[in-house]
Amino acid sequence: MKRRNFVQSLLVIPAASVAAEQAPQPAPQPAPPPATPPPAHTPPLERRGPKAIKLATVEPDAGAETVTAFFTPAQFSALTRLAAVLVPPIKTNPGALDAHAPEFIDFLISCSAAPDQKLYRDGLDGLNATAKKHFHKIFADLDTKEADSIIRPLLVPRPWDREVPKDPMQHFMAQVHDDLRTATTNSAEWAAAGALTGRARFNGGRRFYWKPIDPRVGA
Amino acid sequence: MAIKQYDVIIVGSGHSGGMAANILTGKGISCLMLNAGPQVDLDQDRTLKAAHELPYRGFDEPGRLPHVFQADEFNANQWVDEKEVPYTHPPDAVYNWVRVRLLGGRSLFWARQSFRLSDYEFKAADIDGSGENWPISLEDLAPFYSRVEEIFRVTGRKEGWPQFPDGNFIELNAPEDSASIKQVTAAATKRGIQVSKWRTALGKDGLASSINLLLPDALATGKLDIVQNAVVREVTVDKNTGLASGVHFVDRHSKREMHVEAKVVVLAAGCLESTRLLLNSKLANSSGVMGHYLVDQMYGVNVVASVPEARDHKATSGLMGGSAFMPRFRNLSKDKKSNFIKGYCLHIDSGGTPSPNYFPLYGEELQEKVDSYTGSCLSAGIFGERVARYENHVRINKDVVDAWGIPVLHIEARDSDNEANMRKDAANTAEELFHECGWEIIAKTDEVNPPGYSIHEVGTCRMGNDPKKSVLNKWCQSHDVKNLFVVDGASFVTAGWQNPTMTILALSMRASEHLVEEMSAGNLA
Repeated sequence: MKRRNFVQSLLVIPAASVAAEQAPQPAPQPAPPPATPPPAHTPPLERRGPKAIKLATVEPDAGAETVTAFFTPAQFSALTRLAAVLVPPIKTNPGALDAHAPEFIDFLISCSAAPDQKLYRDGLDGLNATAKKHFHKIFADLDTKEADSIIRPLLVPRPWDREVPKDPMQHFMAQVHDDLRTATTNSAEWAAAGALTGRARFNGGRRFYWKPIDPRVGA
Repeated sequence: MAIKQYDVIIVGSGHSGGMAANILTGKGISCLMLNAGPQVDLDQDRTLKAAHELPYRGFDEPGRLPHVFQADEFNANQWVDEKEVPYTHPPDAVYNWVRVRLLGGRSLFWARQSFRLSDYEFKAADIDGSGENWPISLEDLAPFYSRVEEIFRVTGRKEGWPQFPDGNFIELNAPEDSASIKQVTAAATKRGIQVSKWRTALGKDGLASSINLLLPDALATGKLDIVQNAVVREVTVDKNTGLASGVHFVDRHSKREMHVEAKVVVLAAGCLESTRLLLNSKLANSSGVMGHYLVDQMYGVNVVASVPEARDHKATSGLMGGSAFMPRFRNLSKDKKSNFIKGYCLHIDSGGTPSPNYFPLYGEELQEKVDSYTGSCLSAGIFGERVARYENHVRINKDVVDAWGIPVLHIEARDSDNEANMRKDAANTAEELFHECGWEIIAKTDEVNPPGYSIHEVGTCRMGNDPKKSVLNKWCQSHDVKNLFVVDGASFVTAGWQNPTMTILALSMRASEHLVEEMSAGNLA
């Protein structure tokens, strides 16, 4: 499973990695042309075409919620509880629930490859099964201490992002932890919180986005 | 409209194609450059966005670029679409073929590390008994390196070390090393490891690409035409002479088939695309080694240490920051043997923030840990030389075609015990250096990225003096088809541990000047 976790530091990738994109700077904007007198024969409007118009728009999340459809209710409740525990709000930072990270992950995994879907479904089912075995309730209903007793043994240090734990539940925990953090720190809520405090936040900042430069052919 | 006649067709517009166009047009030779993708407009094609403004919140679009680890949702559109131009590999041998078809190719995005190969690479067979020597030495290429370094404005520190040849550098204007870099430098020096600094192409206006350093001058001669979105499917041959007669290409959008003729064909499409084109053309492979000896560099190993005195917001610029660059230090002397041949460079960067993945924690506990360690870390990684081996190869997969019906490459490249031993040595060495400094090791792995990840794939049309063992001669000219040149990384005999860009540029410059001489002498007709 390939994910970009923007939270992760430069230490994850050698600082001089070949992929470190040199950032070509946009050419300086030319000075506005000097005022010129209108042409003697101004063409009629319909022949000139409309002027460029750019209206303000908002992102869909501003007024709508993601419809979750991939995970079962039991799986989604476990994911939601996991999000609250793993990535809580800290000081002025929003938590995963504030960032609607579980709903986003439901969408993301719904369009991911089958092995990724299986990893998540088996992992969430596994959390519920363990919770029932030890506490006779589903994972979503565990208190903090009970949840910790299940989560902590599944956390293993990973010195290399692409080094995947061999144990399937540890693998799941590593992945969901990564994904929840990224979905949170890449959220509009996180960016807004950073803007409010005036602090540079991991990825609330803006980067160059390359537009589709040409239509994809036969893809 | 009358059909224009060209002396030379150049396939590809990256560093090697740009250099060929620059040299050839400068000598009055008319060139047609064919590039498989479109031109970019740095003002129009990029825009500043936050991750939350993107459809997948900064995650990749699932499944879009599974082999391009460098891809994210911000830059996904700059890479070649893997569905449009697929390739295949065995399930157990992942190969990361990272491609750019925009005008300027990968020269738009390279990391600008600028090193010369040394005779430890050019004459490697004499040193370690592995493979073949190059048919040229550093002495042959040095004058061309110097000219390339001037064009690309390479900055670096001269050292006088044979494994790290000096060049025509702009003097490095580096600040004084931080205390942590001084400390690790002392630890390395004590072990006989020489420590230098990165050597980097400054380029111009933040860009060191063919599109700003090479092609504008070529266009200014009036001798260069560039066609974008021209996907070359075949080099054509004159049946009477056996010489290359031109190329057959297809328009990327309309799929209109086109043919163009010229006196000489220069391939500069990138190592594997040039080789794919020749294999599909069934050309220039009397040796049978075309496609073989695919090699690149190992990028990886991650050893991270934290300096205790720098934690909890005490990472001052005097203590942390900067880098140390340790060029190859293994197997430089015949009497000091490792359990591997060849070598690697170790690069150490100071002042980083640890990945949360290093700690088996979550929630507030994790955040506190990361906050405490922020700025206190040094990380070590390597560029390691892989061995060029016959079995690491590409061939045509006739069962799979790209969006224009052109058969794709099947790529097979695996690491050997030599690579495994080398990366273990590197991880252990970095750990020992950090330990000696008294720092806490918080991450250590000898894992490396799959072959191809470095985007430094070379070989597959290697040069040599013996036409039975090589595809090209020492001028990057086909042994079999004298008016056919391959000026990208395909000619490499060994990869070295160094970023190959300076060598590709120098080889292209040298080959192009030879081409001019041969053409003037009437030897290519």
